[in-house]
This record gives sequence, structure tokens and C-alpha cells, in this order.
Amino acid sequence: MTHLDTCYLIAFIDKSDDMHRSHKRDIVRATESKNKHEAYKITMPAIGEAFHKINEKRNAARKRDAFKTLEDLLNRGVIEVVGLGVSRDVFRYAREIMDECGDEYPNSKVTPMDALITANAIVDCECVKLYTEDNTLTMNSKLHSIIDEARTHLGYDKKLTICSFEY
Amino acid sequence: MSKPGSEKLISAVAKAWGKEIRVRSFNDRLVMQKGCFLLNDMGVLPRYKFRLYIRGPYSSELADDYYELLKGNMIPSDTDVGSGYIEELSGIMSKGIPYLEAYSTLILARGYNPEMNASELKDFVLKIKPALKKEVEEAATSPIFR
Repeated sequence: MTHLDTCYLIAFIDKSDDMHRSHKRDIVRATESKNKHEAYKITMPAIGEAFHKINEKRNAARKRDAFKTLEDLLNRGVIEVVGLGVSRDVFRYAREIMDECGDEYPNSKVTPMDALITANAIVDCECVKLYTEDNTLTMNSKLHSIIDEARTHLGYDKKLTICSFEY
Repeated sequence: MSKPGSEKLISAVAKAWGKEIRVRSFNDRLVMQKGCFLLNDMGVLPRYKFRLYIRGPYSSELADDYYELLKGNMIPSDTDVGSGYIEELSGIMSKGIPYLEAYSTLILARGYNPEMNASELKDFVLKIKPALKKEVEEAATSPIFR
């Protein structure tokens, strides 16, 4: 099972987004493939952040299209919305990520939204991949350690990998 | 439209690899990605933005360019990339695709974690690529990481 970070959700639902254009081949294959086995999971924090960013573009037609595309992807089972797992654990791990990798660490600056989305993936025992475009997450050794330790602490046997999206 | 000079870079990778590169082959595309990434790291232009993917550094922008340039397996034959760069890349590639993946991931990780010493870097990349333990350990002993 794979979780998507906000940047990919925006690229999936907003055709005018820069990343949609730069990743068009992969996105079209991921959203149009008839052989896809499993839906990409997105969390409410990612949806909230995505629409907040889409709203900043101030184009009414684009905002409506994004909702329409999101609905279509949900109906076709390409993406699925998942709730907060055990919320106490989600916030505990999000706080731990911020403590270790937050704004005061210039080389590993993780935002609160990144922390929440990552923590959601951590507590989802079925999640094995979190797709994000952000190299400050994928290349963040402290974050990788937190994830590995959290998964061990939770008693999960599946490893969670953070990397960029490809299909 | 592809980046100016991309064909020279792609041609240099093909030359270093020494075999036909087919865009339909996953392994050949992987070789192209890692090869261009390593040439960029050596300072060879044009520069692409690479991110960490499941199989190491990858640039979607570069993928667009080689899909365009390698249509019908047309590999550009001409490059002005210096022979020293091509030989260095060829030496890394000669150790095989898993080694190439491990080596390029170490380079990418080093760029984002400049404070790490070779041992820390190796341990970090082993977390990302546990399946390539042997290759990561071997690549981490390269003088470039000391």
C-alpha cells in the first residue's frame, strides 16, 4: 500500500500544475492504467493542503476541475481517502519528527504538514511506501531513523520507504 | 523541447556504457538516468534535477528528453564530453547495474547530508537500499567518499 504526499495529489488532480506537466507520463500511466491493483492512499491533511495550494492560484474553473478530477479518481478506485489511524500515535510521531527534523535544523527542515503526512504513513501498518517529491524528506537520515524506530516500536514487520513517485 | 546539450550528455552515457541503449528496456533507462546523474555530479552539463526514487536518483525532466531523443533507438553518436569523464563513468558502470545504483544513491545522499562521514553515509544508504548491501558497502569504500 502506498501513501501520496500533497505534491503528488495536486499533480494528480490539477492538470495546470507544474508537476503534472513534468510528471505527465508517470501520472497518466498511474491514473489511466487498467492493470492497477491497488489505490493510492491519501490522508485528509494532504487533501486540505492540496486545496489550500490550489486555492492560492485563484482560478475558479481550475478549483472546480480539481474537485471533479478528485471525484473521478475516487470513483475509479485510483485513489482512496484514509482517516487518521490511531490519532494519539499520529500526533506523537508528528511531534517527534518536528522535534528532530523541524525548522531549527536547516539541513532537514520538515514542515508540520510533512510531519503529519509522514506520521500517518508510519502508523498505517499496511503502508510500505510514501511517495513524496521532497528530497528533504527522502534524503533525511534522521527521518529515516525515526520511521524505522517507530515501526519497530509499533511491532510492524513491513518497512516503510520514502521516495519519489514513479509508475 | 529537450534541454540544449542534452544529446551530448546522453551520447556520453551511451559511449561509457559501450552497448546499445534501448529506451524500451528498463535497465537501459536506469543506466541512462544514473549515468547522466553521475556526469552531472562530475560537473558535466546540462544539469538536471534528480530525486530519490525506488531505484536511486531519477529525473523526470531527463526522462522526457531521452524519450524524445531516443525515439526509434536513435542514439546520438557525437559528444564533446571529455574522454576523462567518460572513462571514469565507464569504470563505475563496468561493475554492474546494482553497483551503479548503489554508488549513485551514495552520491545523492552525500549532497543532502554533507556533514556525514563515509561510515555514516554508508549506514544511511543501507537503510534506503538494504537489498544492495554488498554493492553499497563496496561503493562506500571508493576514494570519493573518504
